[in-house]
Amino acid sequence: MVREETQHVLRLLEIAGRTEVPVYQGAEFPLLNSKEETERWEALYGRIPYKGCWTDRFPPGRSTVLEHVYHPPEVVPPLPEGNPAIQAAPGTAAQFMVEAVRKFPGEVVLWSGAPLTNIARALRLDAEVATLARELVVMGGGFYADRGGANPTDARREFNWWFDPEAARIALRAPWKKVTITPIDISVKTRLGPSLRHQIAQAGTPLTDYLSRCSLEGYMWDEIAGIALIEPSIITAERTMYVDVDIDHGPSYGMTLFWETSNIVPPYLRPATVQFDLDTERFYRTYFDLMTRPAGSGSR
Amino acid sequence: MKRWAGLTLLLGLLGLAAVPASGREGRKVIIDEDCSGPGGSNMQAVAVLVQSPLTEPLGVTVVTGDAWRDEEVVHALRLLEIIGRPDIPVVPGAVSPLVRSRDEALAWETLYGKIAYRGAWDPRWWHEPFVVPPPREGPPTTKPVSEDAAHFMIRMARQYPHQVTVYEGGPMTNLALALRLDPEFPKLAQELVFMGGSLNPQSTDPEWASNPRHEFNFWFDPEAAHAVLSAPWPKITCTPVDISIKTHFTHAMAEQIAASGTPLAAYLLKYYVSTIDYMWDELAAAAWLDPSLVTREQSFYMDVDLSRGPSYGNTLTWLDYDRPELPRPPVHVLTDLDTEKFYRLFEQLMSAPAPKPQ
Repeated sequence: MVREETQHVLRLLEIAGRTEVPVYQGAEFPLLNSKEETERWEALYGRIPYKGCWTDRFPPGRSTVLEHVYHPPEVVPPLPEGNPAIQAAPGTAAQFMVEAVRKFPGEVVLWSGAPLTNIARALRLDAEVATLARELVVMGGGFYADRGGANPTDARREFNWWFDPEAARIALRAPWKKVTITPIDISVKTRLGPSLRHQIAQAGTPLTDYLSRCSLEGYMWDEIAGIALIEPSIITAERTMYVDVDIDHGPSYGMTLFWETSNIVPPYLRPATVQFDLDTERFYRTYFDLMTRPAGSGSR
Repeated sequence: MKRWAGLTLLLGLLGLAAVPASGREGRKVIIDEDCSGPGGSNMQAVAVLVQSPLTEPLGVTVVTGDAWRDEEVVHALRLLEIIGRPDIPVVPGAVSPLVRSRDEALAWETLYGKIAYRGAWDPRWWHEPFVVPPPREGPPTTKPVSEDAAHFMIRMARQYPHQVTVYEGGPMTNLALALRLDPEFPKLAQELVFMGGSLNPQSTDPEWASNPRHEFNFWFDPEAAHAVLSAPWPKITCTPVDISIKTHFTHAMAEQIAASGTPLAAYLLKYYVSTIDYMWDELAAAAWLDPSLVTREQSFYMDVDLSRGPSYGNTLTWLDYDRPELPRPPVHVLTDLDTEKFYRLFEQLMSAPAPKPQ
């Protein structure tokens, strides 16, 4: 939940030596979806094995999060990497986004590796967020993949968009200058495996010590979205499609909707660039390079 | 013996002895099809099941789907004449799907985007439902029976309990009507075999590139498909888009078949459809006749999305551990085949003279 996540991010910034980057705590709950309603929905439409913070218990060896039992939002379990001394900045994530795009019009990339709740709230605080931002970059959605979805047989239910479909709908239909999507399809072509983790651990920086203790093997969902922003040429296949999300509250709730651009669609559906393939070797090298830099690296 | 002879005579007088008093030990099958024609996948699937020496076709029941029921009845009658089996009854079924209409479907598109193929509703070739354009293959002289498809199916299942395979090559409207009239019907059938549904076909065809879960038969009557997939059939086998698009009926194959010189073979070549050559329904039929054609199948629980939004008509699937709590039978979904073996069986059946009823 957001309170524990905020603590994890603050501690990460301390470890990486970048405490000047402000952290803003955002939405604790999605716009409409809820744990309670999801559980009732599951009886009708099937169990969703991965529900993020709403999962009652993760099976052992689950790759993307540590094993823990469900706890309520206000509970912040002690951080294995140590509790941070710094604190979050005042104000909410949505307010900060509005201020940032107004302060630097045309320059700010809104990058999301999560459910789109904060972005949707920002868009509803100030409709010009979409036109003032430079680009929306999201890890989310699933198209033709045969694994990696929140359901085993249909990867179009991708966790981030399923967790808050209404927010994804608001975000995907807003008039951004550009939308770039890193879906399940490309994510499942990568793997943070034992040899890459081992190589990274050799660097012996505070960050790599932390990664060797706390990072897990698995698909590199959000890392792709991040690295592709810095180095777009790692993407070797991408397509422009109309992309939306199903918010009907039936069996397809939260599923990715898409149309090829040759289709005739209503005008409120917007084109997005969807990434489908990457140069994995270059991607791993860039990841290694970034993770192993000395503490405090990067521009100020 | 006398009592049974009397009963048969009585049934004959009542016009219900539509089934030939055959002594064949064939696999009894009802062929429910949206019999657009002439030529094409629907006609070819009917031909596969009628030509096979293993089957005893009880009747061809007709449903609106690719075309309207009445014109489809004409194509089915003519096909059976050409094959040389006018004894097989053609039984008219539903004119429209259970719930929605063409107007609703076209209005839906203004919200959710154009569907690539709308069958009988498609504006590219649409005509009024009861208009029967003159059949290019010539009009039939035989007539359909007066009984409707739903009652015919129920009657056959009760007459031959646990012996009748229900083959479905079109929208499931007739099946849904039957099981709503008689809930015992699915339990009395031997199995259900259908072409329908789509999981994740590997194709650049816009019909599935924009929605891998869309398939025409389910989409045309989603409520019927939901009712049928929720019913207690002893066994269900599904031929989805995923496997269908691995097959192609080429002109060269039609020419090869035509070399046999039978009326059916000449018909298949003359009315060869070049625009779409996937062998949807033929494959579902052939795989039922010879399961060794299938090289891969998977068991799923299957349903259809009935939400009226963008996912209306989409195929839903689950495995055992994530399925909904309401019970439904598992579906054997065919996912890969030995195409060469399938083509050989198809060509052999299409080239052979029609098996005679006894």
